[in-house]
Amino acid sequence: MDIVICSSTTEGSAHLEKMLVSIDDWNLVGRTQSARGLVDLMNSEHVDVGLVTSDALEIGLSARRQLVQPTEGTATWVAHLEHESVLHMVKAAQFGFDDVITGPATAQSLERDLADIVSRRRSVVTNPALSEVDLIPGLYSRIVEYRDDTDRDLCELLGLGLEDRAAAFVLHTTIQDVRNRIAALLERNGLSTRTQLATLHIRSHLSIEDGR
Amino acid sequence: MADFGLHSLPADLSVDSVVDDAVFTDVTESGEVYRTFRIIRFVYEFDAHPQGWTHLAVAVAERNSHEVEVFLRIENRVIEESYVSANAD
Repeated sequence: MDIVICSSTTEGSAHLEKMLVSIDDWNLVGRTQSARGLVDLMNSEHVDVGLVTSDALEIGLSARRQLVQPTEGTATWVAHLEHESVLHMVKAAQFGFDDVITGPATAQSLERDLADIVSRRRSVVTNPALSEVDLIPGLYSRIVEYRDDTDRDLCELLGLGLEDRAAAFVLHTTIQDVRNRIAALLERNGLSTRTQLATLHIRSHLSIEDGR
Repeated sequence: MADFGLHSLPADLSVDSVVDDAVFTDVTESGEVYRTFRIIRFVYEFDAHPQGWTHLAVAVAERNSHEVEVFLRIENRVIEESYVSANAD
């Protein structure tokens, strides 16, 4: 198995690298601290697993948005957390990671966990810690679809924190039109709430440089 | 006894004689959940309703065609606010 590691610091990946080197069937093909570096690695090397540390989840998301299918779709994406953290599990799930592994671990446990994740015997969305949380897995790996420029402007205003009535004023339209548009945008993009729409719009427009 | 005016509206009153757009979206769950309905007929018009409602209508949910009763505040033929109260049947 070929693996790349993405961490925002060299210290963050050092322990993982040390363990991976000792696992016979795993080959560390590269390491990077940037979204651009991760994109370049994924496009130039055969990669089975993208392993991203918790401090680099945004970098991982930013890079994956730049990758063209099937490159993005063939790798398994795993988030590594230093400690058990439901917050980071939620982030990993919403960012579209396949699963998370936690803790300092040993080479044997790391090998076992990665093998289970790659073979789809486990995933972050079935983690009991998230059973009470209403998630949309992979939500933030998507790009918002708009019907027209007014829809896009409306999403921009939602992302700027405006209420419906204020957005109607700025767009020179009625509150009825604004609310109908929001409902249509939610339906079109498979979303449940206004907040999901606003935050997805914001994240859709982050550039790879924003992810670092 | 109600202290506001309430007028029954004729069953054949066309929806587009009251509003420009029969489709409206009701917002619930602290402003997060948006559900779209289409007005199929107006039932009552209110005069000086204490909560500011101007009409009671029957509408159908766009998603599942379920009929509901809805209180509306209509100004200049635009639906400014709504409250979906109950099943119509």
